[in-house]
Amino acid sequence: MNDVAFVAGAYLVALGALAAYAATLVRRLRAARAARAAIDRRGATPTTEAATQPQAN
Amino acid sequence: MTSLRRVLAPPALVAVVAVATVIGLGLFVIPPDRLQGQVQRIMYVHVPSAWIAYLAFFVTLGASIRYLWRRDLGADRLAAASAEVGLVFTGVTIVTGTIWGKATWGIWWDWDPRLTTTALLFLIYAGYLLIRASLADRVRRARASAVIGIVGFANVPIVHFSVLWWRSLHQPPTVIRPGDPSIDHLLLAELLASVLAFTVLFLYLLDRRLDLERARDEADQALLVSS
Repeated sequence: MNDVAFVAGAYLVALGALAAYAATLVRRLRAARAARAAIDRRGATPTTEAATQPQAN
Repeated sequence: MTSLRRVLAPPALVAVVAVATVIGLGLFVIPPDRLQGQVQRIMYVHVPSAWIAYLAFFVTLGASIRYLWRRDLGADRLAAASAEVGLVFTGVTIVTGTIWGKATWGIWWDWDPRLTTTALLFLIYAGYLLIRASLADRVRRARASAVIGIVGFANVPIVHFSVLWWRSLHQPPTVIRPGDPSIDHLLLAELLASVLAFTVLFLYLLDRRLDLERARDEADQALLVSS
């Protein structure tokens, strides 16, 4: 592999990982807010990871 | 706290423009290094990622101390959010470092002090997040993770100074070191600009992650009230 391929690979991996993480954060935040809204609306059983975490005593 | 967040938390567009600008400069404008050639350009993502990981774990340290001192769940949320963002940046540091290592040393990985302590740093904060996820009680979770957030930070200076304390394949520090930076001024300017841009990105990600932590706490609280 030549140097340019290494540089391109490093930048793609770094920026790809950071962009994917940012997208995941947005999705997880939407899911948590949707869960909260569902609980507020119906007192229903939550359906996302945010509200299915074990509860504090 | 809220007004401070409003000042510190940049919009996504600002973070994207800042990072895109320094990436463009680093790839197409700044000349290659005289000795390493093109492959040295990896420095503009590798080094800022490492420094931001240090910064993130420092925030976790400070917030963990504050939690244990004041029992402030807001500080616990900040510690957790910063630890996760720091873990991502540590992962980026390791992967870009292995690519740079293959290009310059001819190997993807070596158990040298810097690489080993960085891998350990990744495992410490992965463990921090695993323990948080495994503890049901909100207060126990905050207390246990605060202790790990404080003790785990001890590895950060070890990572940084490992290249000075032990014989290492990894190059010694070029900027944060005794004496003047051993790097060309133009390359140093680009490196510092990259650190600044990655800091803006860090603040954006931290703000989003903090919102997520708060939304989860609110959902848990609402569930308790409704049940």
